[in-house]
Amino acid sequence: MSCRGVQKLLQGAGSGPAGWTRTPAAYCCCRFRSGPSRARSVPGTGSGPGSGSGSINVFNREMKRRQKNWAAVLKDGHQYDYLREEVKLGFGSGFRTFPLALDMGGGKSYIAEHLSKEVVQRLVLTDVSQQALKLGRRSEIPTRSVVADEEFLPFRENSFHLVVSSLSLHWINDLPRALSEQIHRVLKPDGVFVGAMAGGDTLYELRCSLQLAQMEREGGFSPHVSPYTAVTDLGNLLGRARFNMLTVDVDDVQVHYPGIMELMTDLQGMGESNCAWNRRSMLQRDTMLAAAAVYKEMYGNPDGSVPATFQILHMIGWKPHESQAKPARRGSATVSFRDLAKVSRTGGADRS
Amino acid sequence: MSGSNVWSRSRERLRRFPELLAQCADEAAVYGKCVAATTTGKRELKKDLCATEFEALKTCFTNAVSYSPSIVELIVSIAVLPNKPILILPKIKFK
Repeated sequence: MSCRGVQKLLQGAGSGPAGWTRTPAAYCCCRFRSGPSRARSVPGTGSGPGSGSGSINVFNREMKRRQKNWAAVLKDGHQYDYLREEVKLGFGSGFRTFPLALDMGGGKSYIAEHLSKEVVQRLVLTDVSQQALKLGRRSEIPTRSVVADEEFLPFRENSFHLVVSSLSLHWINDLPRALSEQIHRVLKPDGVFVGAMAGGDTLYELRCSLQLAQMEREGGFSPHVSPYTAVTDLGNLLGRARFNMLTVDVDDVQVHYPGIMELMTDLQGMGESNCAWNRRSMLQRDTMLAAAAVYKEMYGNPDGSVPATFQILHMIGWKPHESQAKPARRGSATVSFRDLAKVSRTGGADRS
Repeated sequence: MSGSNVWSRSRERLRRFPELLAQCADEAAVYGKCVAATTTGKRELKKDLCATEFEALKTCFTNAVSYSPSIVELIVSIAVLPNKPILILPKIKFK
């Protein structure tokens, strides 16, 4: 029930064109024409109770709270923490000091371990799960825990110098609104938001195997893996939320498991079980058997284990402030691009 | 919820899934290849396209279950019946 090894492949950054949609469950690496399908997820349709007009309601937040509470009080729950411990948010030395920081969806507080008192002086930790906060790890930074939903932060505007979020943004229903109305609001001007969320290709092997197996066994498929934000949409998302000086990076973490059942057990232990409104609560035994066979055959390693990809999207955005560098005014250039060639030629002459 | 209930019992049964599947690795590979072939070839994936392969896999899996009752299963079943006569019966799962 534990992973064998972790391999990291660093890929380049990406940011792109307009629009933000979560890739629906039909996104799959394989080609096939979809037959009669049941409960296909479509981003943007609120199928649960309480969905307001036009508001995106994909996840059952109450269910997510219960799942996280359940996972937090598991005996030996710490064996499932490897993914959160793996995500370090890159606070090296030489970063400035933040008097007050907010850790959104921090759970048992994994980020504070990598921070020191020089970087963050006081920390506020929020999560939907009360049990996770109670059982959180202590760090040297004075911490205050608040039970709060990421979409309804109970803080005044312009209060925090730093907001971090590690592996919890992918459960937020309306991400553009959370970024602009919650995170942007509570940040002080010239404050920074550093986030890491699961996105893009995360768990695509699990998604594809379940989809193929269910299609073959039952004649249709329903979404079992939640929809994720694509890397190309992330820059646009942050820009629309009025963040400056964006940085987006992709980190592929591959974890190897003995089989599909161990992967699903670990996901459940992490508190990452599916909680989308359109999920089916049952997975037939035949489909489970078929999915295990398909996963091993399509993605299995020579030594018999199967890989699971977690694509972690890292993002940094700054709240606008006058001291930040702005793009220069049009027409204020003093040199021309044509002079660029002259620069390299004279440089070469000097060197030789 | 504490003690033995339907959730803990079904979770216990599910825990045996990987070891049972390992005994049917060949049939599983054949079925997996059949399904995987639809992603690259011209054939589309329809219901019961690989039914024969799956039946072979399921038969193998059911045999693996019935021929190897778990010791834990027996102990748990004895423990939850304190006032009844103790009968040791292998339970057949995954019918």
